[in-house]
Amino acid sequence: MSPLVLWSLAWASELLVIVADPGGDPIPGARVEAFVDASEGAEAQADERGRATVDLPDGEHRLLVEAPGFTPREQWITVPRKRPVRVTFQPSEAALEVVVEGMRTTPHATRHVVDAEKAMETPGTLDDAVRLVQSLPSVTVQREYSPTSGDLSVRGSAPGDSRYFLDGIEIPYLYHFNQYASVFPTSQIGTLELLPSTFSAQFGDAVGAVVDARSRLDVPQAAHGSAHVNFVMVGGDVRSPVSEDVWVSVSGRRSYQDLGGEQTSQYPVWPIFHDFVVRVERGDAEEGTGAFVMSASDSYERAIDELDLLDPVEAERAPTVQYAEGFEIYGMHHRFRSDAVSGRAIAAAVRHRRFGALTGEGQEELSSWTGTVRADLVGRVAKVERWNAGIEGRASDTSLVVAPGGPEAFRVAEEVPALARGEATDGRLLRRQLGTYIGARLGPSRLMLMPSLRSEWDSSGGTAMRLDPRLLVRATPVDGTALKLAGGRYTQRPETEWLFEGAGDPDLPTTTSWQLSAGVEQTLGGRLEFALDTYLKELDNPVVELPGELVRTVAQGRSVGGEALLRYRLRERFFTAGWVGVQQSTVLDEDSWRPADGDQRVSVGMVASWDVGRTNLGARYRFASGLPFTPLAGSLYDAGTDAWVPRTGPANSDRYPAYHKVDLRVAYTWTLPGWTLTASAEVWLVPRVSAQLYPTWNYDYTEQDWVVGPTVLPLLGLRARF
Amino acid sequence: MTLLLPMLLACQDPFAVDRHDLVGFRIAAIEAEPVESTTEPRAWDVRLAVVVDGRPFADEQPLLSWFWLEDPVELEAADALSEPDGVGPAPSLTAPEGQSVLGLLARYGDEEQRSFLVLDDTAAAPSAAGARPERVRARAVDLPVDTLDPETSAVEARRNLPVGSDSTSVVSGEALRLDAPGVPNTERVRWMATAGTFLELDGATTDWFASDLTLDEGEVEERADLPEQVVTFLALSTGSHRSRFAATDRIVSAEEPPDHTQVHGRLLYGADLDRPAYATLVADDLAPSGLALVDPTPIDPVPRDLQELELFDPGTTALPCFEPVFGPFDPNWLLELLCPRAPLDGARVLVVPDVWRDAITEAP
Repeated sequence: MSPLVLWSLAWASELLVIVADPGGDPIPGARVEAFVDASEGAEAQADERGRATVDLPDGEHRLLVEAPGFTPREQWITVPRKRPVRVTFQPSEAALEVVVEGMRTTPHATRHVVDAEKAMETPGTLDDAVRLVQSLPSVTVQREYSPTSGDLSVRGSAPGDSRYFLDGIEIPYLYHFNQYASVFPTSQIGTLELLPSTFSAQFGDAVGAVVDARSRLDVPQAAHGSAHVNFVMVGGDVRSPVSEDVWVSVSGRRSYQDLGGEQTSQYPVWPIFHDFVVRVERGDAEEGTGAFVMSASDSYERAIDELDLLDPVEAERAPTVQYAEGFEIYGMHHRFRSDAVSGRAIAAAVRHRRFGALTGEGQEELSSWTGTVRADLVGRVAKVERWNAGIEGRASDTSLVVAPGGPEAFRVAEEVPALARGEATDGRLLRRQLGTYIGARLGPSRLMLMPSLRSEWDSSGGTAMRLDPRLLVRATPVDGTALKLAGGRYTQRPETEWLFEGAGDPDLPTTTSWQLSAGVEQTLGGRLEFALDTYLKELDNPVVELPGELVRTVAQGRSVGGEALLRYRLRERFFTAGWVGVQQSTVLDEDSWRPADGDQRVSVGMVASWDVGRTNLGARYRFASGLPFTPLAGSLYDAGTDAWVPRTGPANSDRYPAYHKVDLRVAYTWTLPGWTLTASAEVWLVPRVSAQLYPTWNYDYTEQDWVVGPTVLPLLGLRARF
Repeated sequence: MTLLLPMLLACQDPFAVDRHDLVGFRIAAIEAEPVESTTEPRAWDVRLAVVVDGRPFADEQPLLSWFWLEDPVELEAADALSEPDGVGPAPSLTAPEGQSVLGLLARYGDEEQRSFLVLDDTAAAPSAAGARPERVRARAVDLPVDTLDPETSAVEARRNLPVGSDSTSVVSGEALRLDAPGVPNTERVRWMATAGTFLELDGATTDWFASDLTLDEGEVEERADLPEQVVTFLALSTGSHRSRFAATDRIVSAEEPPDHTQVHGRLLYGADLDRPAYATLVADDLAPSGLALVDPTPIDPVPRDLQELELFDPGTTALPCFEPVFGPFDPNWLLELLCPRAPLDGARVLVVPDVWRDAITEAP
């Protein structure tokens, strides 16, 4: 050690560093190293409480914190400082990340984590973390580019059964225009998790799944950002410190084909979508306060008939559907941490609007404001036991106006279901919802009990409060093996727009679900992870939404299935995963059981991504058996208007063909002074036998055929990071 | 190429049959007119246009059952065992209280068609309802299939083409321009035919090609010129929940067409009459309406007007039709299922050609 350093240390201040994992558990043995100058410094090792102390001279120093199985953390600190440096490791970038991910303690029975590397390097996801959710085990495989491809159906649940959260705030929808992109960019996401079923009481009012996204809140030490362009959209983001404590983050994306005046007779208004996030923060992910604005929107206009097949006058008179949807979020949040308790509090206002119209045949307009307040606390009792508790309050003001469509509205039932129902609606609904929960983690790590209880109250459901008890038992008999058993009660009130006369029924009952899941997780050789999950969901009064009918409930529903997952990963070098899912989802409708909307009997997926120097190669294959749909059984001829009114056949009595898709990707990254440039090329392959997007019918609905999508789709992309 | 191109590149194959095609068993049109009356409830007369096996006549009569309904969806429950409120092709039906929807269950062999009409008393006046086509006019237009491409098929290009006189025949691969006098071109006419391809010009006018074509943005992708045959056209004018139709026939022939007479817009083979005449009807599958004329005997002297014509026995009063028919023979009776073809075979009837009617109508 140089004499200069020794002299500096003689006048040193003590710096306390506290190291924890994302769950708040300390990481004993973490190595803390502080650099006084370019090469010398001081180091220490964290004790059993995750605390390490280093002596440093006053001034600015670089701090490096490492631990096996976690991403090394590096940041600049100024000494002296009043408060300790708290380091929380994000999902690991270390070689042993697979092991840690699989064995991480969580109050949720099954949790699929999406991270940036997977999002960026999995073929077919277009660098979009939320698109990757559609490729996870448990998630129903939807046909890409089809009208239903933005629906998230998990373990057989209906799309409306799941809730999507960003920093604890529920967002109305996840994807732009048929799943071309998600509504928030990967660069803004810190963590993204899918909880497919039997999740803890932290989340409620959902009998399906939960997508829990949290914004990236690590403090930028300098201005960083990226710009990207592909054939779909252009976008960019910047994160930059403004002062010692304050930093800002701005991101924006927009489709651009319309800007060039692109339009066709089939698309008089070319699809336009955009999203942006502006954030001002003080502090970091552990402690701080921030404010943010987020916005997303979609719009287009398209002809509902295949204009190529019509003569010019017919094509000119062919009806078009206009569609627009969007939301804005205005929010503030606060994060805090003490020795005993940590948590967050959020307050936000969400505006959601949706418009759909069929020329000359009706329109729908939905508008809502929702105020949300939420607080989540995590505390510790003694060294081991933990508790968590929280509250979620929502107040909404929703208006819905529907002028019903004629027979042609059936052809747009997926996009604007209200038109196809044929009922007028004009109303406004004020609604208040309150959820509270408490949970605990009891017992040693070898055998943990995690009971939780959620209470829900909803002004639309009368004065009754719903109590949903849940329990997760997790056992680790030997290192590398985890057994889990979870179950509980889950309840959900219908969507607000289904409570309007003409759309559904103001008296729609609450859906109640008893859920059970069991599974085993096994790590092999430190890098290979195997997981097997089975589940059962029994539902009372599940909601069904059939084309052309009012939303209603049926007596019962049931989903049973299992998933096997095998995963291997060498961070920043190679990852591969394969999964198989089998399930059966049915509903009891008018005294007979029939397939539910999400009844996908078999799904298989395989993905591999390999970094070879600056080149990344990736491949993905997905297979899924066909989802059910309701066929048509002819029509009634309206002789007064020369139009045909379709007659639906038995609900969900037909199925799409099985679906296969192969995605191939190659990307090359140039490292330039201060920035990197990545060029990527992908090709999406769908065999002709799987390329059916949605059914179409002849003029009198007596014959059914398919609208077929492309079988080969090449895509290029460019991303610059600085 | 863009990711959005899937919606553009997403495509479907055309269906073999579209709404223009009069094929198979099809209820092509239903008219309903209120019976003039000062009493309630109001009675309605109905009139159908039906093709059976793709022909405007039937040897075996389809079964037609009529039902009064409160809502069209009730028609889904009707079946062969349901008690109808009326049967046959042209019943006079009186609407019960609270039921203003008239449903039709038509059955032919294994096939069935379900149709309905929402009857609106306020649309009784012709000006409030779909305008009635006086007849269908088909005129020669210089637009052979050989010249069709995206440019020549465009509406503006075709609108400026010169149009000839009304013609009862067309050469295979050539075109006719059809319109329906009495229906303004701002209204909507649905065109249907037993063969060929339509390319509409405006709301009430269309070009028709004596060829089965598959067009993609004006480009001919598939082509099959029609063999020699008779094509039946139907013009259906819709408006205010009231539709009205008119029909005509045209002959596709490379050579001089056979002798024929136009009666109420329809063609009858076997004679080229220019005045009223008695003739014997004989079944002929290749003839329009399935009937041809033999042994025509013109009335001499020629009646000077319709009043004088009424002095002659039309020979139709005793025809074994499902509904009573009156006056000179009208081929539309078969299209409307008033009469099956078989019992008319051999009947001696009075035939009044349109050319004679037009002449006495135009005479001062």
